Amino acid sequence: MATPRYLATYSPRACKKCNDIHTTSAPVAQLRSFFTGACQANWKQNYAKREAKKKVIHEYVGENAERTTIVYAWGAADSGALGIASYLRPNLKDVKRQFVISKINRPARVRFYDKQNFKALKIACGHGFTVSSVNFQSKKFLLGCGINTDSQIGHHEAPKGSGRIMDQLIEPGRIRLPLRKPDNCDVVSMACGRAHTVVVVEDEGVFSLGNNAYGQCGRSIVEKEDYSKNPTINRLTDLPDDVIKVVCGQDHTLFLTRSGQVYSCGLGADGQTGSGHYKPVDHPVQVKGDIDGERIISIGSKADCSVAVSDKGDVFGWGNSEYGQLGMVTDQTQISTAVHLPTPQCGRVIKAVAGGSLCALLNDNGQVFVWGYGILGKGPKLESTVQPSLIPEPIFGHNELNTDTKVVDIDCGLTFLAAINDQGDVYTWGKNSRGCLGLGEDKNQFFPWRVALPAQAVDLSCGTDHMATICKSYT
Amino acid sequence: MSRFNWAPSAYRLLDGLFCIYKPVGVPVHKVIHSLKVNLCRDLNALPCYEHEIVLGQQPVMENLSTKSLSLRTDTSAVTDWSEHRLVLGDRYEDSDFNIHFVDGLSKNSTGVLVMSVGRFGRQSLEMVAMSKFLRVYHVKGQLGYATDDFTPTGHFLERTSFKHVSHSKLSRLCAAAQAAHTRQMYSLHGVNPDSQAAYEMAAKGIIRPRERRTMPVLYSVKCIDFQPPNFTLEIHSINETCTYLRQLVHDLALKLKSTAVCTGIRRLRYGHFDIDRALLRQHWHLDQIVDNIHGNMDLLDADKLFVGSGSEAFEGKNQRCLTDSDKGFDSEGGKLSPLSAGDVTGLSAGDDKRYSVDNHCERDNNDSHGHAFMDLSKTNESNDLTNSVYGKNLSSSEKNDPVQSGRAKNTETSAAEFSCEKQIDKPKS
Repeated sequence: MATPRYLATYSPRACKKCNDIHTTSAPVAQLRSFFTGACQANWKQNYAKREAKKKVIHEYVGENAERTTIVYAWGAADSGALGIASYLRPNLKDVKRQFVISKINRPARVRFYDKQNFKALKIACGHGFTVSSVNFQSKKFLLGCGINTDSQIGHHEAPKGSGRIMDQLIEPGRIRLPLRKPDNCDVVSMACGRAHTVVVVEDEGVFSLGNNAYGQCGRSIVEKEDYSKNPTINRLTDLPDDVIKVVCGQDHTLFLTRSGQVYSCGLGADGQTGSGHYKPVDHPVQVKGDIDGERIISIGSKADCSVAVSDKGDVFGWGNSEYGQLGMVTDQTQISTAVHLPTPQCGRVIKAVAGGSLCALLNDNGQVFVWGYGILGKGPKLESTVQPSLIPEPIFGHNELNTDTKVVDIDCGLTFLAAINDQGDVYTWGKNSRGCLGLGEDKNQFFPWRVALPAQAVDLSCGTDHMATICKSYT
Repeated sequence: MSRFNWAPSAYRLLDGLFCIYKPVGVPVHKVIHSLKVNLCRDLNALPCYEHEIVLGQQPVMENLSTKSLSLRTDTSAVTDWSEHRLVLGDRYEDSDFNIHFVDGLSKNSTGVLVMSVGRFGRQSLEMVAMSKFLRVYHVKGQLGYATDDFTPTGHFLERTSFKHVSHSKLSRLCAAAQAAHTRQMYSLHGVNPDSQAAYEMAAKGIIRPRERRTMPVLYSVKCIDFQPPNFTLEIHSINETCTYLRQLVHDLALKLKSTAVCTGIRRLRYGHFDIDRALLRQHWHLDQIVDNIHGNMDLLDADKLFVGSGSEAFEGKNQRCLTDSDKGFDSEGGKLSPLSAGDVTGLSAGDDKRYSVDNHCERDNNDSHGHAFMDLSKTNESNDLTNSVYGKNLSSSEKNDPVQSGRAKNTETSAAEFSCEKQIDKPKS
């Protein structure tokens, strides 16, 4: 109860410092409360409050809560391939930030999927675009985002009927395939090349979109065809029905059937189609060479070199060998038929991938071997090798204390590699073009390093300069 | 009844590392105090002075009659009480013991605690501290509520449900916490990540942080027991504190969308110092401590002590020196000079200084290496030292010495210092 200042000036009780009248000093007030029992009442109140607090049980999550599916992406953002619209149009989200984010070198959560309540099932990255298959309620869709100059992620007209066809999508948009059941796009496998996309849909067949300059879409090459704003979606008819996996190189496509045969179409300038010649193939043909009669379980190709693994654990390769990818068996720079690559030191191989200048394989013990040229993952010293070289397992989290940890999946971009171990940790290494390693730095990484993902990675896809993972939250 | 018969020789043996099992609820400084009190009591119970008149014994009689100037002197003997214990007082008191510890435990934590007594012990303790041993903890937590200091007794904050928490969820999160730390482990070692050295280091697997005081590094976090609301984590770590472990429990629980408090921390192992070596509270007495110091001498070995002190580069060098010295030791094994118990030799010059720490005050400079102390006490029964120090009880004490017999199996396991800890149940004292 302070007296007004002008009155206090004349009061003999005024404080000498602030010229105000204080009611009582603090210690006196405390003492008084002690004698009057006020502090006891305070204690009682506090006790009651605490007890009341103990009675309330907060429930932050339900008893049977499912683990959330989260999509993280990183790398070059200016193509729109990450699917985060606010990076390219800042005013969508944050008025204060006026600049565009053109690259991001750490994992960024793609909130589009959370907002739309989409559950991502599969994801594939190409050169500046990303295709994902999602589950929404009981429906399944195919979405695409990023560069669309060759209609590789479909025909998007906005607003409808305006004739304004988008050649870049900064947020995922639905790709409408000509399906018998359009709402049930159950994707078996999909892959993205330089400017084309191939999708295998359960019970519906294989569909291809985008650039067909070399026949990579599996249809006849049309001279001077304009691929931009082109609504053509091709259903491949020359293939067996049981295609289970599709892989896209830069300008060619490989198909793997359930019975273990490999088909290919597209550019053959380096022999990457494995058809015995170096001409483009516009309709899928079976790959020839040592692969005949083998049952193939895994195929891999990101650029001009292709590799395949048989169920016996043998590795086969064809295509470009400028960097010694096939240097184990040949000195030539290209091979047009599949050759067996002897890998006696690697044990039983279960997966092999081939990037632009480097290759990697994974055996059933969870060991990763690399060969080729570039940053292979064995320090700056090892620049090129023709024999597969083991990356020490401790780098992937296997050590004396954690003896079960092993690598379960590998993938590669053109100049970098990525691996997932069974605990869901993602490791990346190689050339860091525009932050595509996601390690929080723009430097190259010379050995596998864990990406700081706050969730367990389930699926992973490498593009040229971006990456996307599908993760599950820990709880 | 102590096996010693002369206090100063027993006191001289109190110089080295020993290892105790710290009970719950006692801060470390109290532990040190009670150790000092126990040691004083035990030492003072022994004969301490050369011409001491023990209580209940007849005093020295001296006939002083010839010296007497008085004519009326009584010719009977005068009792000289000057050498009596009650006159001389206790020979040992608290301040005579220089007890230190490394990486202490908080008051409410329990487990293995490495301590040193004496000057040599202090030096060894510093080396142990430098080597940054791996520690193994069992951390108990309770889901359901949170307090401000992460202990059950702190200020209550809130209650939460924990029915959704399962063993697999917790394990998954533990793996994630550990993986995040493994990533940090490399950066804390301070090697340029672009260099070949960094790759070679990463290829080795577990790397210790370079500095002694860095952020905590967890090498393994595992959920070994889950009975909601209680759970137990087994944590292998370096540079952690008890507070950090409590906070870890809290943070893990928050990630599980629940809350938890840490109900107990137990340290099972500190490097090579495992729970078998630790003295329980009822054994904090002179004999057991001397035995323990004696038994821990084998840990003051170059390849065991310098695992984490950044001396990996010198490994080859050490190895060579050790083998050389071993040869020398074998060749002159027969003609070891008898040891004078009081002869404190300094550490020999040069590189030897780093690992000749078990050259413990009984050796001359010529053979400064190796396991001199241990081998000596095992083999040469007629040795002066062993006889003078241990008296007649030596042979019997060696036979049923638990530390001695336990060490045989420990030497195998301790080579792989990071091998997983088997769960040992030791009753809390």
